[in-house]
Amino acid sequence: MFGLVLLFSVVVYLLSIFLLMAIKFKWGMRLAGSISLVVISGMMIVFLYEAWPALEQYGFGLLTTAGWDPPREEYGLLPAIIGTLITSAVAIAIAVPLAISIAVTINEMLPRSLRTIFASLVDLIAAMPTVIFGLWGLFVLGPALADFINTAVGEYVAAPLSLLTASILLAIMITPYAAAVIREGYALVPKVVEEAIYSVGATKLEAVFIKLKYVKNYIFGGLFLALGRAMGETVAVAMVIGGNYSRLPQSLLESGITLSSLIALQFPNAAAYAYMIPVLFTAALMVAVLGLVINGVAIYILYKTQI
Amino acid sequence: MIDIRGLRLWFGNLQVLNGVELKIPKNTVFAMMGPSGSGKSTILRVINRLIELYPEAKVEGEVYLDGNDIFKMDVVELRRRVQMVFQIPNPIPNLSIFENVALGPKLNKLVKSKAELFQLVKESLEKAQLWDEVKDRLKTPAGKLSGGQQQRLCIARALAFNPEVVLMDEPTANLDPENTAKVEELIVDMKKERTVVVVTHYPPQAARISDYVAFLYKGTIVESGAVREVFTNPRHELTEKYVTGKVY
Repeated sequence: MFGLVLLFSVVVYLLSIFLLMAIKFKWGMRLAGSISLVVISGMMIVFLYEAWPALEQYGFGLLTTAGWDPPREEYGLLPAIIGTLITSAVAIAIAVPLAISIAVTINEMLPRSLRTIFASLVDLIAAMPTVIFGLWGLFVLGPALADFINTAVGEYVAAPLSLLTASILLAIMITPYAAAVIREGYALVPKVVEEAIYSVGATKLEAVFIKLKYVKNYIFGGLFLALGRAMGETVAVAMVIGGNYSRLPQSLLESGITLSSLIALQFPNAAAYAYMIPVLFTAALMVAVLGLVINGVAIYILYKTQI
Repeated sequence: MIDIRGLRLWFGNLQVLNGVELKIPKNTVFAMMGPSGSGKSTILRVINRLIELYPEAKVEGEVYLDGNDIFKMDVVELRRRVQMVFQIPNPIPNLSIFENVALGPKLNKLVKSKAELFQLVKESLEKAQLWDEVKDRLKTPAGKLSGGQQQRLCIARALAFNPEVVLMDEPTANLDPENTAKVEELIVDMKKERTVVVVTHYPPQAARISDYVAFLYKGTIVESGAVREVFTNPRHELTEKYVTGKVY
């Protein structure tokens, strides 16, 4: 019902834009420019509306407690929030150095003829459906990782499906995104600046570091693009994270859950319980808010460091 | 002294230099003039081997710096001894004014302490007549300076190495008359301690600042010699046309 109202208001909004464009073009364009704002706030309103019953029932505690017992209508999103933050952070920590190395390799080390081929290959990884990564993570990466850790430590400590497996899988999936942005930025270092760097007697390695400093905005951009992807990634993570809904993970080697994989894994039986749908909408709201906050911080940092 | 013998250079299939022979004496200002595309800037980029940043360039011939073959020298050492100032002022824009001058000495470990580094930066900026304008804002990004100030910053950056040779690629092409006068004054001042090779396509400038001059046309040296000689008594018809402004 509420969705219909919203859809109707969006249609009215679009119609008014066209009308205004015909009457006063400038104002029509301004209204059109604000369309993304309208869509985002519309989505937020829907999420909030749908999540409201759960927020009313459980209050703020829904976000700060652990627990998942649908038959007793007991829910807590803390493990999912923590899981999302941990997997994204670990994935970023692995992916960004990797992405920088890929960007530098493509721009500095490879012969000119191989650059485009190699760059397209990296881009192709980004274009692969995520479920492929999930399957590989489930049957290859997870067991291999568990074997490796259990052999190294000498006893049974790691399960194949864990936060660590999800983090590493995420890192592999998001590296191409960060690498693409950094690579493009790196290629844009003007020839005159490059000549300046070499003319002050820099070695190739020193020149690379100075150039990376020059393109630090692109590195930031790639980092936050990748972070957004990591936090939102659903299917592949749902396949390898182990689905531990109720307990706070004590280490990276345990199974866990993230907000988006929680939604993906729980929606089939959600309708059977009184409060699960609003709880899942709360999770969705949290994903959206986290995404907005992180991008807001990114834009703020970029704005502050702009030269 | 710089000795260039039989220098030939191609960009892909296009031959830019065909057999350049030049002797550039020590502690002089040597001007290379010629129309656009005659290969002046390319010669400069060969002398400090920046040409190696252009993968499509192929070089043949020999260049000696004080009797040493530059192609056999360590490239970082060569670029330290042979500094360059570019046509478009190119400080590294995101680094501060101080860091732009300090970068080279730091990378090449020319100084031992922070105090020594500061002293070197200060002296270099003073020599480039920029110190008074920037001493209160050394931490400002260099990209915020005006074009003329950026060019003098680049000269300070070059002087911080105490180089034997300074190559200048049309250093005043993008400057206003006031800054042009300052830079020309600096060039004449520099030759007390170093060799300056300056590229210009403006003959009066060559006449004002240089001791020796070479005239390039389509990748060949048409004529070279003492500046008075070339300007008052050119042996070649093309040179005469160029210095009198009939060929561009």
